Amino acid sequence: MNRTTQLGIVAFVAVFVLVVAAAGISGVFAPADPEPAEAAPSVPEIDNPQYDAGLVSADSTPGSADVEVDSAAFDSNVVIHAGTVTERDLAPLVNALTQDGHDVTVVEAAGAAPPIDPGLPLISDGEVGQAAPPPDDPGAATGLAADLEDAHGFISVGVAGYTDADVEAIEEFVEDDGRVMMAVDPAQEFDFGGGNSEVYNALGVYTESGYVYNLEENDLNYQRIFTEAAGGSELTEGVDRAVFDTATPVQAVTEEEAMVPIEGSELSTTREETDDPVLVRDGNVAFVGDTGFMNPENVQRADNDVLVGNIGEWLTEADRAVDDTDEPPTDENDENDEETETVTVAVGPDGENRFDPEFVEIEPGTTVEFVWESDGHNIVPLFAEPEEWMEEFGVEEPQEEGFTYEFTFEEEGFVEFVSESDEQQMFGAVVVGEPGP
Amino acid sequence: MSSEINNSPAPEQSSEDRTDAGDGGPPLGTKRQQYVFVVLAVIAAVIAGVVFASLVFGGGEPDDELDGSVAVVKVEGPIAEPVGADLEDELREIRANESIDAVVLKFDTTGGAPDSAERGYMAIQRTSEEMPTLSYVQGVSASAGYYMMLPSEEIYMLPTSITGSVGVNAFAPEAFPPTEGPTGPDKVGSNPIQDWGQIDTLDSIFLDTVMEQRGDRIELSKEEVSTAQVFLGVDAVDNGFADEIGSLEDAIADAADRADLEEYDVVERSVGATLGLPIIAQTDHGIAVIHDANPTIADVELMHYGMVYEPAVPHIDELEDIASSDVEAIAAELAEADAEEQEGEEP
Repeated sequence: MNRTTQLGIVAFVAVFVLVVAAAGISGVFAPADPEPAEAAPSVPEIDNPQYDAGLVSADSTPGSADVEVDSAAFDSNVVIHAGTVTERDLAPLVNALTQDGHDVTVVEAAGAAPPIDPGLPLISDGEVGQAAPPPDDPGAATGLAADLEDAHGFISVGVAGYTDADVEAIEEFVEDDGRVMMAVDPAQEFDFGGGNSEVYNALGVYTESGYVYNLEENDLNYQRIFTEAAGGSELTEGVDRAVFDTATPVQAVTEEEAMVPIEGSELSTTREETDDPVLVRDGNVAFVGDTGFMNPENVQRADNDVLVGNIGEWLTEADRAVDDTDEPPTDENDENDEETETVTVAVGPDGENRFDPEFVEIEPGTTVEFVWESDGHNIVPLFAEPEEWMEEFGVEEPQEEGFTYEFTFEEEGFVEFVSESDEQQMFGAVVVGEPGP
Repeated sequence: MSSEINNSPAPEQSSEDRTDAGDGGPPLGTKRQQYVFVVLAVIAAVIAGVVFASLVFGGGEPDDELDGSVAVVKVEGPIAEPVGADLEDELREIRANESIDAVVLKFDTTGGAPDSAERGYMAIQRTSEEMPTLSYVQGVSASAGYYMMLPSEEIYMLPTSITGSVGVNAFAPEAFPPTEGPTGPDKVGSNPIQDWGQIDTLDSIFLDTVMEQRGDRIELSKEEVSTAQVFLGVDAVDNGFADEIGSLEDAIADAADRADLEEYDVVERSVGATLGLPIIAQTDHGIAVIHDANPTIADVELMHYGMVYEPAVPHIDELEDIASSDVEAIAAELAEADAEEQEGEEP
């Protein structure tokens, strides 16, 4: 190769390298994409007037409640059948009933989560007790029928279903002038409880599928609807508006009074406006499409406290003849004051260290018979009113199986007692009539 | 040209000796010829260098004829950090980049956490102050996805894309039993009514933002919007939840048009590409954001309040069922079943 070629090659290589290097450094061909690093960040002003507490903040003041039962009836019995609710959910009503001097018995629905603490200090509550086990009397009714025997009012809250016997008992109770309020949860409609439809049928009430909501005006959530009173005065007296928290529409064959959703409320299944009630009353039967309206938070909303108070009054004022009514509200119950009754308490049944029942509620003049079913128990009073019973009542020496001890409580009062047979206190109590505080 | 360079060194050594041999090389010429040759070589080198450099350093075609670029930013997957942060960074860079004149956000998300949604919302709002900023919905852009799209000038949807779901996912507040220890009653659990109030406020923020940004275009009342209904593209365009039926290409063309770009190129960006996108799933404890395929406790957080279109969010059990199944085993099983079937048919 000659010199010319060499020169040409050298010149080519040198210029080529120079051009490429120059292009690389100057960035002539650099894609437009990667931005020049030195560009200043731009942060334009933005305006969001809607982010203003004055516009968007909800008023979440919890409110206050004054649930008051001021019943014309004295010392009525109310049975509460609790399904999908907790003790807390029922507390406002139970407390108000207790305060007005009525007896409340809470029965847990079978299969429901145990809403009531079995370790309740029964005696200090005075009137609130667990359902007593069926009495020893072999002919006596059992289950719900037994619980309803001496009840004036009956509330069923969120119970999933009833047996045929229960349905019959409820039906009989209503026919017998007992007052019933059934509160059902809309979610229950998605299960087949196997019995509720029969109760509805027996009571002449029914529900509609779906729940009521209101997007225009509500209590902090579209499912927490406001309702207004429509007609009647028993349950809705003094109630302007009440809040129901997830409610299903309910109907009765005849509606004497009702709580009706306010304007703008719609039904979930139709998405159409609805004015079907969520609470109705037909005579002695009330039916509510919600179980949460009487819980401690919700009684503080709108006039729920008044509504719950009214429910308490209405239930206790049932004109029902009750076999062992303490102070019968009507004369037709006079027949009950016959000869003295006897109540039996087993001492140490099945070798267990307990009295059965632990808690006895009787009327003055009733005799309580203690029957020893195992050895070594005595009965020592702890507290008593009147004080004489501290001396008069009790069996100081431990006794053997088969021993019996009778005591007739002639006046109102109470006595709490233990057996000293065991370190784990074997505790019992008798309440006579309605002792003063 | 590389062959020229490679071939030349080998004969170089001998060429000196054979200069006069005239063995088929360029004939020995005058100085003038030499000069012309070198000049030609230099010219060739310049051309070759320019072409080479443009291939190495250039992005392809020369951009002299382009008016600018449209950036397509992909927001795909759950809206949870780092999506908000990424989108904010990405859009800040785009605003700073003088060659980008318009943005199209490509959404495909069932929603996510309010914090990420609001960060994205503000970043998009800021960007739309500076340049045409459009949104396009691929499959779904609901709840938090819709929240983020609100400040964009136009929302493009495919006829069957889904949007809407304006609302907040939350559990019903419950009363807490007393706990001893904390210094105030709201430390471990608030009053249910106060919690209801907070959920309602969250919902109002979302709703009022929708009405503020698109109230003039949405033909539904505020109450109707608050049903949290979702709409298919055709309906959304009809009721004002979105603006146009079209594909990503339509959105890009519209964005370019708004930025007065006649010749433009499209640059793609995506969010969450570096750190990876989280997974969201429904669990028995609420909606969970999962930041790793094999999560440890550090990779899982529960969304206290969510802005998601729940029916489109899978349950964790469903994900596990599908994910844990051994694909090869299933394939083998199917093949076996097939073989058996065929055997059965033969006789």
